[in-house]
Amino acid sequence: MNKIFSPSRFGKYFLHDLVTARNNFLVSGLILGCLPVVIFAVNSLFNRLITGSWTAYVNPVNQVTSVIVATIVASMVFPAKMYGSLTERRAGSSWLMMPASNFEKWLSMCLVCLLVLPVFLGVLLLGTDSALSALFPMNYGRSLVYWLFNANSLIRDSTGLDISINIPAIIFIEWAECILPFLLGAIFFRKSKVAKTFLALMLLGLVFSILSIVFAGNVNIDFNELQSMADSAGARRLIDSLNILISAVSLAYIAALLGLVFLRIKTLKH
Amino acid sequence: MIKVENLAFSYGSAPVLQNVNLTLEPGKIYGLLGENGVGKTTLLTLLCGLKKARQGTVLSDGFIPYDRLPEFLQNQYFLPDEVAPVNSVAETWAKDCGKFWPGYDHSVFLELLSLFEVNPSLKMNAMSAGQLKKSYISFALACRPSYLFLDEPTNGLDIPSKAQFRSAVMKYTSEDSTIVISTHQVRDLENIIDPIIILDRQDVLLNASMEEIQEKLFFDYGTTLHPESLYSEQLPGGFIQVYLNQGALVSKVNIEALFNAAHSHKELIKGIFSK
Repeated sequence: MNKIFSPSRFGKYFLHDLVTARNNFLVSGLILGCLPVVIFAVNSLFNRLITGSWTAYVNPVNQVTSVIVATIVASMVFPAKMYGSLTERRAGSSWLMMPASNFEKWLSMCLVCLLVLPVFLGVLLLGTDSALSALFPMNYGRSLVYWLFNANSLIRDSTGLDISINIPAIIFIEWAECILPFLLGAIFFRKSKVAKTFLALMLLGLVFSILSIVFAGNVNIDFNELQSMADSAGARRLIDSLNILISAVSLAYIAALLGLVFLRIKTLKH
Repeated sequence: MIKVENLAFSYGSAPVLQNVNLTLEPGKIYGLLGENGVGKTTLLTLLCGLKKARQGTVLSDGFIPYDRLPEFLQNQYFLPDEVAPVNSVAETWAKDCGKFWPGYDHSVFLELLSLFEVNPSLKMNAMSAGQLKKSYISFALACRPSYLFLDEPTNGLDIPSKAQFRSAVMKYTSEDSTIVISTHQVRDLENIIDPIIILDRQDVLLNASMEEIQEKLFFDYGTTLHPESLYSEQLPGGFIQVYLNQGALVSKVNIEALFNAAHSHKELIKGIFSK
Protein backbone atom coordinates (compact mmCIF):
# COMPACT_ATOMS: atom_id res chain seq x y z
CA MET A 1 0.00 0.00 0.00
CA ASN A 2 2.87 2.33 0.87
CA LYS A 3 4.08 2.01 -2.72
CA ILE A 4 0.85 3.56 -4.01
CA PHE A 5 -0.31 5.78 -1.18
CA SER A 6 1.27 6.97 2.02
CA PRO A 7 -0.68 9.67 3.88
CA SER A 8 2.44 11.49 5.09
CA ARG A 9 4.10 11.44 1.67
CA PHE A 10 0.87 12.53 0.03
CA GLY A 11 0.53 15.36 2.55
CA LYS A 12 4.02 16.58 1.68
CA TYR A 13 3.35 16.27 -2.02
CA PHE A 14 -0.01 18.05 -1.84
CA LEU A 15 1.59 20.89 0.09
CA HIS A 16 4.34 21.08 -2.53
CA ASP A 17 1.66 21.20 -5.26
CA LEU A 18 -0.13 24.00 -3.42
CA VAL A 19 3.08 26.00 -3.15
CA THR A 20 3.68 25.50 -6.89
CA ALA A 21 0.09 26.57 -7.61
CA ARG A 22 0.59 29.68 -5.49
CA ASN A 23 3.81 30.53 -7.34
CA ASN A 24 2.30 29.94 -10.77
CA PHE A 25 -1.25 31.16 -10.47
CA LEU A 26 -1.76 33.47 -7.50
CA VAL A 27 -1.46 36.73 -9.43
CA SER A 28 -3.60 35.52 -12.36
CA GLY A 29 -6.13 34.11 -9.89
CA LEU A 30 -6.35 37.40 -8.01
CA ILE A 31 -6.88 39.29 -11.26
CA LEU A 32 -9.63 36.89 -12.30
CA GLY A 33 -11.18 37.08 -8.85
CA CYS A 34 -11.46 40.84 -9.19
CA LEU A 35 -13.35 40.58 -12.47
CA PRO A 36 -16.66 41.75 -10.93
CA VAL A 37 -14.88 44.94 -9.81
CA VAL A 38 -13.44 45.45 -13.30
CA ILE A 39 -16.81 44.90 -14.94
CA PHE A 40 -18.52 47.24 -12.48
CA ALA A 41 -15.85 49.89 -13.05
CA VAL A 42 -16.09 49.58 -16.85
CA ASN A 43 -19.87 49.73 -16.60
CA SER A 44 -19.66 52.90 -14.51
CA LEU A 45 -17.11 54.44 -16.87
CA PHE A 46 -19.28 53.82 -19.94
CA ASN A 47 -22.26 55.12 -18.07
CA ARG A 48 -20.33 58.28 -17.26
CA LEU A 49 -19.29 58.68 -20.92
CA ILE A 50 -22.79 58.12 -22.27
CA THR A 51 -25.10 59.64 -19.67
CA GLY A 52 -22.71 61.85 -17.77
CA SER A 53 -23.51 60.07 -14.52
CA TRP A 54 -21.34 57.64 -12.55
CA THR A 55 -24.43 55.80 -11.36
CA ALA A 56 -24.37 52.52 -13.29
CA TYR A 57 -26.76 49.72 -12.53
CA VAL A 58 -25.60 46.12 -12.56
CA ASN A 59 -28.24 43.46 -12.93
CA PRO A 60 -27.90 39.83 -11.81
CA VAL A 61 -27.24 38.78 -15.44
CA ASN A 62 -24.09 40.98 -15.49
CA GLN A 63 -23.02 39.55 -12.15
CA VAL A 64 -23.48 35.94 -13.24
CA THR A 65 -21.78 36.66 -16.59
CA SER A 66 -18.67 38.06 -14.93
CA VAL A 67 -18.45 35.04 -12.63
CA ILE A 68 -18.97 32.62 -15.53
CA VAL A 69 -16.35 34.38 -17.67
CA ALA A 70 -13.83 34.30 -14.80
CA THR A 71 -14.42 30.61 -14.11
CA ILE A 72 -14.26 29.62 -17.79
CA VAL A 73 -11.01 31.54 -18.28
CA ALA A 74 -9.58 29.99 -15.09
CA SER A 75 -10.59 26.48 -16.11
CA MET A 76 -8.94 26.94 -19.50
CA VAL A 77 -5.77 28.68 -18.37
CA PHE A 78 -4.98 27.19 -14.96
CA PRO A 79 -4.21 23.57 -16.01
CA ALA A 80 -1.78 24.74 -18.72
CA LYS A 81 -0.11 27.22 -16.35
CA MET A 82 0.17 24.72 -13.53
CA TYR A 83 0.82 21.39 -15.26
CA GLY A 84 1.59 22.36 -18.86
CA SER A 85 5.34 22.08 -18.28
CA LEU A 86 5.01 18.34 -17.66
CA THR A 87 5.27 17.69 -21.38
CA GLU A 88 8.42 19.78 -21.56
CA ARG A 89 11.61 17.76 -21.02
CA ARG A 90 13.32 19.97 -18.43
CA ALA A 91 10.45 20.56 -16.03
CA GLY A 92 8.68 17.30 -16.90
CA SER A 93 11.70 15.20 -15.93
CA SER A 94 11.92 16.86 -12.51
CA TRP A 95 8.21 16.33 -11.94
CA LEU A 96 8.31 12.66 -12.93
CA MET A 97 11.37 12.05 -10.75
CA MET A 98 9.77 13.51 -7.61
CA PRO A 99 9.57 10.66 -5.11
CA ALA A 100 5.80 10.30 -4.93
CA SER A 101 3.64 7.67 -6.59
CA ASN A 102 1.74 8.27 -9.81
CA PHE A 103 -1.48 7.91 -7.82
CA GLU A 104 -0.42 10.55 -5.29
CA LYS A 105 0.56 12.96 -8.06
CA TRP A 106 -2.76 12.33 -9.80
CA LEU A 107 -4.79 12.71 -6.62
CA SER A 108 -3.04 15.95 -5.74
CA MET A 109 -3.64 17.24 -9.27
CA CYS A 110 -7.33 16.36 -8.99
CA LEU A 111 -7.69 18.00 -5.58
CA VAL A 112 -5.96 21.17 -6.72
CA CYS A 113 -8.07 21.42 -9.89
CA LEU A 114 -11.40 20.20 -8.56
CA LEU A 115 -11.37 21.55 -5.04
CA VAL A 116 -8.69 24.11 -4.24
CA LEU A 117 -8.97 26.21 -7.38
CA PRO A 118 -12.82 26.44 -7.44
CA VAL A 119 -12.93 27.22 -3.72
CA PHE A 120 -10.21 29.88 -4.12
CA LEU A 121 -11.93 31.41 -7.14
CA GLY A 122 -15.39 31.07 -5.62
CA VAL A 123 -14.34 32.82 -2.40
CA LEU A 124 -12.64 35.60 -4.37
CA LEU A 125 -15.44 36.12 -6.87
CA LEU A 126 -18.26 35.92 -4.35
CA GLY A 127 -16.19 37.98 -1.94
CA THR A 128 -15.64 40.84 -4.39
CA ASP A 129 -19.25 40.56 -5.52
CA SER A 130 -20.50 40.77 -1.93
CA ALA A 131 -18.13 43.64 -1.20
CA LEU A 132 -19.47 45.56 -4.20
CA SER A 133 -23.00 44.80 -3.14
CA ALA A 134 -22.30 46.07 0.37
CA LEU A 135 -20.48 49.19 -0.85
CA PHE A 136 -22.92 50.13 -3.61
CA PRO A 137 -26.26 48.60 -2.57
CA MET A 138 -28.31 50.89 -4.80
CA ASN A 139 -26.27 50.44 -7.99
CA TYR A 140 -24.96 46.94 -7.65
CA GLY A 141 -27.99 45.27 -6.15
CA ARG A 142 -28.03 42.06 -4.21
CA SER A 143 -24.98 39.88 -4.04
CA LEU A 144 -24.76 36.55 -5.83
CA VAL A 145 -24.61 34.83 -2.45
CA TYR A 146 -28.17 35.96 -1.85
CA TRP A 147 -29.32 34.53 -5.19
CA LEU A 148 -27.47 31.27 -4.56
CA PHE A 149 -29.05 30.74 -1.14
CA ASN A 150 -32.52 31.63 -2.33
CA ALA A 151 -32.45 30.10 -5.81
CA ASN A 152 -34.84 27.24 -5.03
CA SER A 153 -37.46 29.40 -3.36
CA LEU A 154 -37.17 32.00 -6.15
CA ILE A 155 -37.71 29.30 -8.80
CA ARG A 156 -40.64 27.87 -6.83
CA ASP A 157 -42.19 31.33 -6.51
CA SER A 158 -41.77 32.22 -10.16
CA THR A 159 -42.72 28.86 -11.75
CA GLY A 160 -45.05 27.38 -9.18
CA LEU A 161 -43.22 24.04 -9.59
CA ASP A 162 -42.20 22.17 -6.46
CA ILE A 163 -38.68 21.39 -7.50
CA SER A 164 -35.41 21.46 -5.62
CA ILE A 165 -32.11 22.03 -7.38
CA ASN A 166 -28.85 20.87 -5.81
CA ILE A 167 -26.87 23.94 -6.78
CA PRO A 168 -23.47 22.97 -5.25
CA ALA A 169 -23.62 19.61 -7.05
CA ILE A 170 -24.47 21.29 -10.36
CA ILE A 171 -21.66 23.83 -9.94
CA PHE A 172 -19.18 21.06 -9.08
CA ILE A 173 -20.19 18.88 -12.05
CA GLU A 174 -20.12 21.83 -14.46
CA TRP A 175 -16.72 22.92 -13.16
CA ALA A 176 -15.29 19.40 -13.44
CA GLU A 177 -16.66 19.03 -16.98
CA CYS A 178 -15.10 22.34 -17.86
CA ILE A 179 -11.62 22.01 -16.31
CA LEU A 180 -10.85 18.31 -16.81
CA PRO A 181 -10.64 18.39 -20.63
CA PHE A 182 -8.21 21.31 -20.32
CA LEU A 183 -6.21 19.45 -17.68
CA LEU A 184 -5.95 16.47 -20.00
CA GLY A 185 -5.04 18.77 -22.88
CA ALA A 186 -2.37 20.47 -20.74
CA ILE A 187 -0.57 17.19 -20.06
CA PHE A 188 -1.29 15.64 -23.46
CA PHE A 189 -0.44 18.30 -26.04
CA ARG A 190 3.11 19.60 -26.18
CA LYS A 191 2.28 23.02 -27.66
CA SER A 192 -0.78 25.29 -28.03
CA LYS A 193 -2.45 23.31 -25.29
CA VAL A 194 -5.56 25.47 -24.81
CA ALA A 195 -6.21 25.97 -28.54
CA LYS A 196 -5.73 22.28 -29.34
CA THR A 197 -7.99 21.21 -26.46
CA PHE A 198 -10.59 23.67 -27.65
CA LEU A 199 -10.37 22.26 -31.17
CA ALA A 200 -10.54 18.68 -29.90
CA LEU A 201 -13.64 19.54 -27.84
CA MET A 202 -15.28 21.14 -30.88
CA LEU A 203 -14.53 18.09 -32.99
CA LEU A 204 -15.86 15.74 -30.32
CA GLY A 205 -18.96 17.93 -29.97
CA LEU A 206 -19.51 17.72 -33.71
CA VAL A 207 -19.14 13.94 -33.76
CA PHE A 208 -21.53 13.52 -30.81
CA SER A 209 -24.05 15.89 -32.37
CA ILE A 210 -24.04 13.87 -35.59
CA LEU A 211 -24.38 10.62 -33.64
CA SER A 212 -27.25 12.10 -31.59
CA ILE A 213 -29.05 13.20 -34.75
CA VAL A 214 -28.61 9.76 -36.29
CA PHE A 215 -29.80 8.14 -33.05
CA ALA A 216 -32.79 10.47 -32.70
CA GLY A 217 -33.73 9.82 -36.30
CA ASN A 218 -33.93 6.10 -35.65
CA VAL A 219 -36.03 6.38 -32.50
CA ASN A 220 -39.77 6.71 -32.80
CA ILE A 221 -40.86 9.36 -30.36
CA ASP A 222 -44.56 9.63 -29.81
CA PHE A 223 -44.97 13.33 -29.15
CA ASN A 224 -48.67 12.87 -28.35
CA GLU A 225 -47.72 10.46 -25.62
CA LEU A 226 -45.11 12.90 -24.33
CA GLN A 227 -47.75 15.63 -24.31
CA SER A 228 -50.11 13.43 -22.34
CA MET A 229 -47.31 12.58 -19.90
CA ALA A 230 -46.62 16.26 -19.36
CA ASP A 231 -50.16 16.71 -18.27
CA SER A 232 -50.08 13.91 -15.76
CA ALA A 233 -48.02 12.55 -12.88
CA GLY A 234 -45.77 10.97 -15.51
CA ALA A 235 -44.13 14.36 -16.02
CA ARG A 236 -42.42 14.05 -12.66
CA ARG A 237 -41.19 10.56 -13.57
CA LEU A 238 -39.88 11.82 -16.89
CA ILE A 239 -38.01 14.71 -15.26
CA ASP A 240 -36.52 12.35 -12.66
CA SER A 241 -35.45 9.86 -15.31
CA LEU A 242 -33.86 12.58 -17.42
CA ASN A 243 -32.10 13.93 -14.34
CA ILE A 244 -30.66 10.52 -13.56
CA LEU A 245 -29.62 10.02 -17.19
CA ILE A 246 -27.93 13.43 -17.45
CA SER A 247 -26.19 12.97 -14.09
CA ALA A 248 -25.01 9.48 -15.08
CA VAL A 249 -23.64 10.74 -18.41
CA SER A 250 -21.90 13.66 -16.67
CA LEU A 251 -20.36 11.43 -14.01
CA ALA A 252 -19.23 8.89 -16.62
CA TYR A 253 -17.64 11.72 -18.63
CA ILE A 254 -15.83 13.03 -15.54
CA ALA A 255 -14.68 9.53 -14.56
CA ALA A 256 -13.39 8.90 -18.09
CA LEU A 257 -11.44 12.17 -18.07
CA LEU A 258 -9.96 11.43 -14.64
CA GLY A 259 -8.96 7.97 -15.88
CA LEU A 260 -7.31 9.43 -18.97
CA VAL A 261 -5.39 11.98 -16.85
CA PHE A 262 -4.07 9.14 -14.65
CA LEU A 263 -3.13 7.05 -17.69
CA ARG A 264 -1.26 9.99 -19.18
CA ILE A 265 0.69 10.57 -15.94
CA LYS A 266 1.56 6.88 -15.74
CA THR A 267 2.80 6.67 -19.31
CA LEU A 268 4.50 10.06 -19.59
CA LYS A 269 8.09 9.68 -20.85
CA HIS A 270 10.98 12.04 -21.42
CA MET B 1 23.50 -2.29 -8.17
CA ILE B 2 22.02 -1.65 -11.60
CA LYS B 3 21.82 -4.55 -14.02
CA VAL B 4 21.07 -3.92 -17.67
CA GLU B 5 20.42 -6.98 -19.82
CA ASN B 6 19.83 -7.07 -23.56
CA LEU B 7 18.42 -3.58 -23.45
CA ALA B 8 17.00 -2.20 -26.69
CA PHE B 9 15.38 1.13 -27.40
CA SER B 10 14.33 2.93 -30.54
CA TYR B 11 12.71 6.21 -31.50
CA GLY B 12 10.02 5.08 -33.92
CA SER B 13 11.76 2.85 -36.39
CA ALA B 14 15.23 4.26 -35.67
CA PRO B 15 17.07 2.02 -33.22
CA VAL B 16 19.23 3.84 -30.68
CA LEU B 17 20.32 1.08 -28.33
CA GLN B 18 20.49 -2.60 -29.12
CA ASN B 19 21.46 -5.50 -26.93
CA VAL B 20 23.15 -3.37 -24.27
CA ASN B 21 24.49 -5.28 -21.27
CA LEU B 22 25.93 -3.44 -18.28
CA THR B 23 26.41 -3.74 -14.57
CA LEU B 24 26.80 -0.57 -12.54
CA GLU B 25 28.32 -1.18 -9.14
CA PRO B 26 28.11 0.87 -5.95
CA GLY B 27 30.93 3.22 -5.02
CA LYS B 28 31.93 4.11 -8.56
CA ILE B 29 31.75 7.20 -10.71
CA TYR B 30 31.02 6.03 -14.24
CA GLY B 31 31.90 8.25 -17.15
CA LEU B 32 29.48 7.67 -20.00
CA LEU B 33 31.05 8.76 -23.25
CA GLY B 34 30.01 8.60 -26.86
CA GLU B 35 29.52 10.59 -30.02
CA ASN B 36 26.45 12.76 -30.54
CA GLY B 37 23.33 10.70 -31.01
CA VAL B 38 24.66 7.34 -29.81
CA GLY B 39 22.11 7.24 -26.98
CA LYS B 40 23.92 8.46 -23.85
CA THR B 41 20.98 10.55 -22.64
CA THR B 42 18.59 7.82 -23.73
CA LEU B 43 20.51 5.29 -21.63
CA LEU B 44 20.50 7.63 -18.62
CA THR B 45 16.77 8.21 -18.93
CA LEU B 46 16.17 4.47 -19.20
CA LEU B 47 18.25 3.88 -16.06
CA CYS B 48 16.31 6.43 -14.04
CA GLY B 49 12.84 5.51 -15.32
CA LEU B 50 12.00 8.40 -17.60
CA LYS B 51 11.69 6.02 -20.53
CA LYS B 52 10.45 2.49 -20.93
CA ALA B 53 12.72 -0.19 -22.37
CA ARG B 54 11.33 -1.68 -25.58
CA GLN B 55 13.25 -4.91 -25.02
CA GLY B 56 15.42 -6.33 -22.30
CA THR B 57 15.50 -5.38 -18.65
CA VAL B 58 16.86 -2.68 -16.39
CA LEU B 59 16.88 -3.56 -12.71
CA SER B 60 17.99 -1.08 -10.09
CA ASP B 61 18.24 -2.77 -6.68
CA GLY B 62 15.43 -5.03 -7.84
CA PHE B 63 13.20 -2.15 -8.99
CA ILE B 64 12.08 -1.67 -12.57
CA PRO B 65 12.88 2.05 -13.03
CA TYR B 66 9.90 2.80 -15.30
CA ASP B 67 7.50 1.77 -12.51
CA ARG B 68 8.69 4.98 -10.83
CA LEU B 69 7.85 3.76 -7.35
CA PRO B 70 8.53 6.32 -4.58
CA GLU B 71 10.95 3.99 -2.75
CA PHE B 72 12.99 3.77 -5.92
CA LEU B 73 12.79 7.46 -6.80
CA GLN B 74 13.86 8.63 -3.35
CA ASN B 75 17.19 6.83 -3.78
CA GLN B 76 18.15 8.49 -7.01
CA TYR B 77 18.46 11.87 -8.65
CA PHE B 78 18.56 12.64 -12.35
CA LEU B 79 20.03 15.95 -13.45
CA PRO B 80 19.21 16.68 -17.11
CA ASP B 81 21.57 18.66 -19.33
CA GLU B 82 19.13 21.57 -19.35
CA VAL B 83 17.30 22.48 -16.18
CA ALA B 84 14.03 24.31 -15.69
CA PRO B 85 13.88 27.79 -14.18
CA VAL B 86 11.39 27.63 -11.33
CA ASN B 87 9.36 30.57 -10.09
CA SER B 88 10.76 30.27 -6.59
CA VAL B 89 13.68 31.35 -4.43
CA ALA B 90 16.45 28.73 -4.58
CA GLU B 91 16.59 28.13 -0.84
CA THR B 92 12.82 27.78 -0.47
CA TRP B 93 12.61 25.53 -3.51
CA ALA B 94 15.35 23.26 -2.21
CA LYS B 95 13.82 23.05 1.26
CA ASP B 96 10.42 22.25 -0.22
CA CYS B 97 11.65 19.60 -2.69
CA GLY B 98 14.29 18.18 -0.34
CA LYS B 99 11.56 16.76 1.90
CA PHE B 100 11.06 13.97 -0.61
CA TRP B 101 14.63 12.65 -0.42
CA PRO B 102 15.35 11.06 2.96
CA GLY B 103 19.06 11.84 2.67
CA TYR B 104 18.59 15.52 1.84
CA ASP B 105 20.76 17.84 3.90
CA HIS B 106 19.86 21.51 3.60
CA SER B 107 23.11 22.68 5.15
CA VAL B 108 25.00 20.82 2.38
CA PHE B 109 22.85 22.60 -0.21
CA LEU B 110 23.69 25.99 1.28
CA GLU B 111 27.35 25.05 1.65
CA LEU B 112 27.51 24.03 -2.01
CA LEU B 113 25.75 27.18 -3.18
CA SER B 114 28.25 29.23 -1.25
CA LEU B 115 31.08 27.20 -2.81
CA PHE B 116 29.62 27.95 -6.25
CA GLU B 117 29.09 31.58 -5.22
CA VAL B 118 25.35 31.53 -5.90
CA ASN B 119 23.07 33.59 -3.70
CA PRO B 120 20.44 31.21 -2.20
CA SER B 121 17.90 34.01 -1.91
CA LEU B 122 17.85 34.56 -5.67
CA LYS B 123 14.74 33.58 -7.58
CA MET B 124 15.58 30.67 -9.84
CA ASN B 125 13.85 32.15 -12.86
CA ALA B 126 16.02 35.24 -12.48
CA MET B 127 19.28 33.27 -12.44
CA SER B 128 21.71 32.92 -15.32
CA ALA B 129 21.93 29.48 -16.97
CA GLY B 130 25.16 28.75 -15.09
CA GLN B 131 23.76 29.80 -11.71
CA LEU B 132 20.67 27.71 -12.31
CA LYS B 133 22.76 24.69 -13.20
CA LYS B 134 24.87 25.18 -10.07
CA SER B 135 21.71 25.35 -7.94
CA TYR B 136 20.47 22.06 -9.38
CA ILE B 137 23.90 20.44 -8.98
CA SER B 138 23.96 21.59 -5.34
CA PHE B 139 20.49 20.16 -4.81
CA ALA B 140 21.36 16.86 -6.50
CA LEU B 141 24.42 16.42 -4.28
CA ALA B 142 22.57 17.56 -1.14
CA CYS B 143 19.97 14.82 -1.72
CA ARG B 144 22.77 12.28 -1.19
CA PRO B 145 21.08 9.64 -3.34
CA SER B 146 22.41 6.13 -3.88
CA TYR B 147 22.20 6.69 -7.63
CA LEU B 148 23.08 9.97 -9.22
CA PHE B 149 22.65 10.42 -12.96
CA LEU B 150 24.23 13.58 -14.35
CA ASP B 151 23.78 14.51 -17.99
CA GLU B 152 26.45 16.95 -19.16
CA PRO B 153 26.80 18.48 -15.69
CA THR B 154 29.68 20.81 -16.58
CA ASN B 155 27.98 22.35 -19.63
CA GLY B 156 27.42 26.02 -18.94
CA LEU B 157 29.73 26.12 -15.93
CA ASP B 158 32.57 28.64 -15.83
CA ILE B 159 36.17 27.46 -15.37
CA PRO B 160 36.40 27.80 -11.56
CA SER B 161 33.02 26.11 -11.18
CA LYS B 162 34.24 23.04 -13.05
CA ALA B 163 36.96 22.52 -10.46
CA GLN B 164 34.46 23.22 -7.67
CA PHE B 165 32.11 20.69 -9.22
CA ARG B 166 34.83 18.02 -9.18
CA SER B 167 35.69 18.63 -5.57
CA ALA B 168 32.00 18.76 -4.60
CA VAL B 169 31.35 15.39 -6.23
CA MET B 170 34.30 13.87 -4.39
CA LYS B 171 33.38 15.45 -1.05
CA TYR B 172 29.60 15.18 -0.93
CA THR B 173 28.83 11.78 -2.41
CA SER B 174 28.88 8.78 -0.16
CA GLU B 175 31.31 5.97 -0.77
CA ASP B 176 28.64 3.47 -1.72
CA SER B 177 26.73 5.64 -4.18
CA THR B 178 26.76 5.00 -7.91
CA ILE B 179 27.27 8.05 -10.07
CA VAL B 180 26.86 8.03 -13.82
CA ILE B 181 28.09 11.12 -15.63
CA SER B 182 27.37 11.50 -19.31
CA THR B 183 29.70 14.01 -20.86
CA HIS B 184 31.56 15.29 -23.88
CA GLN B 185 33.76 17.46 -21.65
CA VAL B 186 36.09 14.63 -20.68
CA ARG B 187 38.89 16.97 -19.62
CA ASP B 188 36.59 18.52 -17.03
CA LEU B 189 36.04 15.18 -15.36
CA GLU B 190 39.16 13.22 -16.27
CA ASN B 191 40.36 12.92 -12.70
CA ILE B 192 37.14 11.73 -11.12
CA ILE B 193 35.55 9.26 -13.52
CA ASP B 194 36.40 5.59 -13.18
CA PRO B 195 35.24 3.28 -14.83
CA ILE B 196 34.62 4.50 -18.34
CA ILE B 197 31.79 3.40 -20.57
CA ILE B 198 32.03 4.24 -24.26
CA LEU B 199 28.81 3.87 -26.18
CA ASP B 200 28.98 3.22 -29.87
CA ARG B 201 26.10 3.18 -32.34
CA GLN B 202 23.56 1.04 -30.48
CA ASP B 203 26.17 -0.86 -28.48
CA VAL B 204 28.70 -0.64 -25.63
CA LEU B 205 32.18 -0.33 -27.09
CA LEU B 206 34.06 -0.34 -23.82
CA ASN B 207 33.20 -0.66 -20.14
CA ALA B 208 36.38 -0.78 -18.10
CA SER B 209 38.04 0.63 -15.04
CA MET B 210 41.06 2.92 -15.31
CA GLU B 211 43.20 0.10 -13.94
CA GLU B 212 42.06 -2.27 -16.70
CA ILE B 213 42.61 0.42 -19.33
CA GLN B 214 46.13 1.10 -18.03
CA GLU B 215 46.79 -2.63 -18.01
CA LYS B 216 45.75 -3.12 -21.62
CA LEU B 217 46.68 0.16 -23.25
CA PHE B 218 49.73 2.37 -23.03
CA PHE B 219 49.50 6.14 -23.38
CA ASP B 220 52.73 7.59 -24.67
CA TYR B 221 53.39 11.31 -24.26
CA GLY B 222 56.76 11.19 -26.08
CA THR B 223 58.19 13.13 -28.97
CA THR B 224 58.70 10.25 -31.42
CA LEU B 225 55.85 9.23 -33.65
CA HIS B 226 55.27 5.44 -33.80
CA PRO B 227 53.37 4.23 -36.86
CA GLU B 228 52.08 1.14 -35.03
CA SER B 229 50.09 3.22 -32.53
CA LEU B 230 46.31 2.80 -32.43
CA TYR B 231 45.88 6.54 -32.24
CA SER B 232 48.22 9.48 -32.40
CA GLU B 233 47.70 13.20 -32.09
CA GLN B 234 50.22 15.98 -32.24
CA LEU B 235 50.35 18.16 -29.16
CA PRO B 236 52.52 21.19 -28.51
CA GLY B 237 55.95 19.70 -27.80
CA GLY B 238 55.21 16.10 -28.77
CA PHE B 239 52.54 13.51 -29.35
CA ILE B 240 49.94 11.58 -27.46
CA GLN B 241 49.87 8.04 -28.76
CA VAL B 242 47.95 4.95 -27.71
CA TYR B 243 49.39 1.43 -28.08
CA LEU B 244 48.47 -1.99 -26.86
CA ASN B 245 50.30 -2.38 -23.55
CA GLN B 246 52.49 -5.39 -24.13
CA GLY B 247 55.20 -4.71 -21.59
CA ALA B 248 53.13 -4.08 -18.43
CA LEU B 249 54.04 -0.40 -18.64
CA VAL B 250 52.32 2.17 -16.47
CA SER B 251 50.91 5.35 -17.98
CA LYS B 252 48.33 8.02 -17.27
CA VAL B 253 45.10 7.46 -19.20
CA ASN B 254 44.17 10.26 -21.58
CA ILE B 255 40.42 9.85 -22.02
CA GLU B 256 40.18 11.79 -25.26
CA ALA B 257 42.95 9.69 -26.82
CA LEU B 258 41.30 6.54 -25.46
CA PHE B 259 37.98 7.57 -26.97
CA ASN B 260 39.54 8.26 -30.37
CA ALA B 261 41.57 5.04 -30.30
CA ALA B 262 38.44 3.08 -29.43
CA HIS B 263 36.57 4.68 -32.29
CA SER B 264 39.19 4.03 -34.89
CA HIS B 265 39.72 0.39 -33.79
CA LYS B 266 36.29 -0.66 -32.58
CA GLU B 267 36.57 -4.42 -32.99
CA LEU B 268 40.09 -4.59 -31.57
CA ILE B 269 39.16 -2.55 -28.48
CA LYS B 270 35.95 -4.52 -27.99
CA GLY B 271 37.93 -7.72 -28.29
CA ILE B 272 40.66 -6.87 -25.78
CA PHE B 273 38.26 -5.49 -23.19
CA SER B 274 35.71 -8.27 -23.44
CA LYS B 275 38.29 -10.88 -22.45
